[in-house]
Amino acid sequence: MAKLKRRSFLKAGAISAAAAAIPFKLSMKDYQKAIADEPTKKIPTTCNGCASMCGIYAYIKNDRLVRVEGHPVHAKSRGRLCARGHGMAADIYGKGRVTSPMKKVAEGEFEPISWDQAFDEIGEKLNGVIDQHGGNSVMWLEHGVRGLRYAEQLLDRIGSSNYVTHYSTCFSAKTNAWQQMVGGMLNGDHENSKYMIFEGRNFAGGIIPHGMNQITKAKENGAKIVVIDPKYSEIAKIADDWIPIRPGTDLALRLAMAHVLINENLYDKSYVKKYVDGFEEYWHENKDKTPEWAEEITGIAASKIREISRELAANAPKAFIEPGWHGLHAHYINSTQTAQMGVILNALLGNFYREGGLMPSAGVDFGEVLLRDVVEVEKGPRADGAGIEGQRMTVETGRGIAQTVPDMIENDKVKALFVYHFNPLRTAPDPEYQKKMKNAELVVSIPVDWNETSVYAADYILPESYYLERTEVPTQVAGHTSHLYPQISIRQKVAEPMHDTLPLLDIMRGITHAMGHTGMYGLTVEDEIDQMLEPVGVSRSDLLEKGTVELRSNKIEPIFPTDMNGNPNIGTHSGKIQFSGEIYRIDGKKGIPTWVAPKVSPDPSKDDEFRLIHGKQPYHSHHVTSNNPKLVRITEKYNGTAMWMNKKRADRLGIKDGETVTITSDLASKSVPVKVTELVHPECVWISSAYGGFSDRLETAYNLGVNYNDFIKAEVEPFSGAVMSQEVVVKVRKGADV
Amino acid sequence: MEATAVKNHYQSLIKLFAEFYKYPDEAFMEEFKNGTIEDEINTMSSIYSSAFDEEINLQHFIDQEHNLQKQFMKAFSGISKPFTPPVESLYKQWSADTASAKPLASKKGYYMGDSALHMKHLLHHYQLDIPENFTMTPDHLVIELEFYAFLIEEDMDAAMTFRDEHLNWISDFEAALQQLNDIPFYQEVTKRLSQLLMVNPTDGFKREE
Repeated sequence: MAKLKRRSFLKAGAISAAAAAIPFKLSMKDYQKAIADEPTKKIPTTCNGCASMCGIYAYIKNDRLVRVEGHPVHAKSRGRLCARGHGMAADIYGKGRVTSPMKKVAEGEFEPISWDQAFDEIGEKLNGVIDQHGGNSVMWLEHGVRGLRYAEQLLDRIGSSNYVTHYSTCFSAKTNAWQQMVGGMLNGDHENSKYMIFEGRNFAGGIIPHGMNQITKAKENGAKIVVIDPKYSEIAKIADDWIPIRPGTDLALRLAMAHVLINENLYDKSYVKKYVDGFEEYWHENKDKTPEWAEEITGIAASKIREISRELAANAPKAFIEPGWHGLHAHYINSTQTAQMGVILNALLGNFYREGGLMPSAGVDFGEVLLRDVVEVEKGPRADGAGIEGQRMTVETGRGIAQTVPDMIENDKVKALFVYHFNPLRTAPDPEYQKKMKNAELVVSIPVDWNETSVYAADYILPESYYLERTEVPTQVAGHTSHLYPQISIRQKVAEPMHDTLPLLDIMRGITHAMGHTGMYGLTVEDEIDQMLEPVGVSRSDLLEKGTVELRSNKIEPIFPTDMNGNPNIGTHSGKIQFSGEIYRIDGKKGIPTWVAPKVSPDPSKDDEFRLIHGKQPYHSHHVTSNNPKLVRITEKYNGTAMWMNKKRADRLGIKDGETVTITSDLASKSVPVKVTELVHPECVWISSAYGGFSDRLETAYNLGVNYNDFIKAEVEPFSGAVMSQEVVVKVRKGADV
Repeated sequence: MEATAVKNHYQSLIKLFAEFYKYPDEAFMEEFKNGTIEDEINTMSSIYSSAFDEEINLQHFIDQEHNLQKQFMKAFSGISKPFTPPVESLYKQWSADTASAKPLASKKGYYMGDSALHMKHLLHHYQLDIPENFTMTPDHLVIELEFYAFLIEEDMDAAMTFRDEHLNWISDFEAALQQLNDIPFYQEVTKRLSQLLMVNPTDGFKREE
C-alpha cells in the first residue's frame, strides 16, 4: 500500500515541562479550575472604539485579554468606557479579521501570501509607478492622522504631496473655518457652563464617557441644556429644550441669534472690541437677518430664537454653542458659513478662553524624532487641488478631499493608492463610484478587517495588528472636552498578535526596503517614544506603566493669548478672533458669512419627498463597529437600523410603525424598516450612519440596514471641500423594493 | 492483527485525517489525485468495521472549479464568508472563568478560549512545540489530531480523556460546514472524521486480542 507523506506539525521541543506555571492537568475541567486562580495583569493602553482614543486598562489573565475598563486618569474616560470600547476589545479574538497579507487573484478573490512576497511585489510595482508617472502619482488616503507620521516619510522620499484624510467626509467645514477665525479648535468647558446649546451635535451619540459626565454634572449644578436638531437625539434626552429645526437651515438660525445679540446690545461689547476683527463688516452684511426672517426659513418661532439668544447672553460667558463635530460640518453647501457662525456667536458671548465657555486643549511639546536616511524630493501639485490657486485653494492641505479620489485616478493624477485605516467604499458617497478606486495601477489597503474597500478595490491587503496588539508613539489627550492640565497617553501592546499581522511601522519599513530605500524607518517605535518623551520629563517605562500621565506644567488658564506687547495673539491673520475667513476672501469668495440656502430641498407639495439626514448612535462608530456581534445585539435591541419618519408624514403615506419602506434617490433604491415617531422633523427622514455593509466577508455587518452614502453623490462643498452629505432629497414609499 | 498494529493503524488514520486540515500543497494534491490517500484510508479503516458505513471515495467531491485548494480557502481561511475555521475555541463557550472574563466568557465564536489555553498547557507538558503558525490557535484541529495520535502512542487513557474533552466539538464543526456551499470535500471528510472519532480504538484492540 502506498502511503501519504505526513507533514507532521507537532515536534518534540527543547523546553522543559517543569517550567509550567500550573501543575499538569490532563482534564479540561481540572485545568479550568486551576487557572481561575491565576493572577490578572492590568496593563494601560488606549481604546480604538472611535477616534477619541480613551485611556483604558486591559486585563490580561493567562496570557489573554479578558476585559477592559476606562482609565481613571485619562480625561476622556476617567474610569468609564462606552459600549463601543468594550465591544471592540472582544474583536481581538473575533473571526472577522484579515489573518495574513492577501493578494487579489480575481475580482473579489484573494489568496494569502507572505509578508516578504507582499513587500517585494508592492515595492516593485510602486517603483514602476514612480518611474513611469512620478512620485506625485502616489496617494496616501487615511482616516487621519494616525498614519501621518509614517506616511509622510514615504511621501517625502518619493516626492508626493498627496496625503488625504477622511475629514472632508466628516467635519472639515468646522476645522477650515475655526483655524482661520480662531487659530485652532477650542472645546466647551461643559462642567463649568451654565447654558449649553447643542446644535447638530449629539454629544451622547458620538459619546466621550467623561465628556458626558461633565455635561450631566453641569446639569446637576443647574445648567440649562438646549438641543437644536431635526431629530430627538440621545443628547436631547437630557435637554431642557429640544428645538426641531428644519434641516439645512442652521445657518439662518445662527445669523438670527447673532442679530438678537447685536441688535439688543446683548453681546459682550468690550470683549468684541478688544478681541474681534471684522465685527462692523459682519454687522453691515447681516443687519437684515432678523428672527422673523429666520422663522420662515428654519421653522423656529422668532420668539423662541429671541428666547434662547437672550438666555445665552444672560449666562455669558459661561454659555456657549457647542463647537460641534460631524453634525452640520460636512452636511450642506452652507456648512462652512454655519461653522463660521459658530465662532461668531461664541465670540459675541465673549466666551473664548473663559471658564464655562470655550477653552483650548492643554498642550504638550513632544520632542522631535530625528529620522535617519532623510531625502526630500520635490513634490508636485496635490491631486485634489487643495490649497492650489484656481482649484480648491480654500481647502486645508493637511486634510484634503477624500470623496473624489476615483476622479483623480480617472484623470491620471493618482496611479498608486494606499488606503490606511479608512473604508471609503462604505463611508464616502456613492459606493459604486468609490469602487472605481480599483482602476489605479496599484491599490494597497491596510485594514484590520475585510472592509469594503479592501474587498472591492485593493490589489493587496496588508493587515495591521489590532490596536491591543501594537505599541504606538504617545499622544496628547486633546479635543472635545476641557481639562486644565495636559495629559499624554500611550497605546501599548497588551496581547500577542492573533494572526499574521504587523504594526504600520513594520509594514512601511518592509515596503520601502523592498523599494530599495533600506535606510528608511530605521527607528523602532521605542526609539521614537524615547525621543518624543525626552523634553516632556516622563520616561518611557513610567508612561508604559501608567498609560496616561497628567503633567503639572502648562496649566490652561482662562486668559486670552497675547503677544509680548499684550496684543491678542491667537494665531489668526490679525491675532484676534476674525469674523471673516481671509483665505476665502483671497480666493474671491465671501469672507464674512451670510445666508446661503441649501443646495436642494424637498418639494413641500410632494408627500413622498424628504431630506435624508443621518447621525450617530452611541453604540457604533459609523460603519467601523457594525461587524461587532456584541454591538449589533444592541442595534437589534433598539431597532437601530430603522429609518425615522415623522408620524404626520407617515400617516399621509399610509405608512405604519415597523413596516418596510423603500428609500429612493437618483443613485439608489433600498428598503428598510421604519420607525414612525413624533421625534423627527416632518421634512426629513433619519437613518443611522452605522449600517449598510456590503462586504460579504463581514458576516455580522453584511446586508444590515442601509447607509446614507448609498444615496448621495460625491460632491465637494466649495469652501472646505466637505462632502455635503445631507444635500439629498429622497422619495419614500411604503413597501419593500422588489 | 496484533493490538499494537491495530493501534498503529488507528493512529495513522488520525494523522492522515490531520493532513486534510492543512493547506493542500502540490504534493498533497498529487497524492490525492493518484488515489494514494483513499487507498490508505480504506485499507486502514477496514480493520474497524464500525468506523465507516461505506468505503471512502473522495474524488468525486472535487472538480476543476472546486479544487481542493479553493475548497480549503473557502471553508477555513476567511477570504470568503461564511467560513468556519477548524479551531475548537470557536465552537465552545469561551471561558469557564465567568468572574474575570466578563464580556466574552459565555459567548461562542471567539478564538483563544479555554480550550486553546489547555492545549498550550498539554503540549507544554508533553514537551511538544507549537508550530509558529498555530501559536495563537493551538486548539486547531490539525494540532489536536496530531496530539491525539501522539497520546494514543504514549498513554491510551490520556488519549481517551483528550478525545472526550477536546474532540467533542467535531459534530458542531460538521454542522457548521454543512451550512456552507461549494465545499463538498470538506463536508465529506469531516463527516468521516466524526465517524472515526466515534470509534474507541481500545475496542479494536480488545476484539483482536
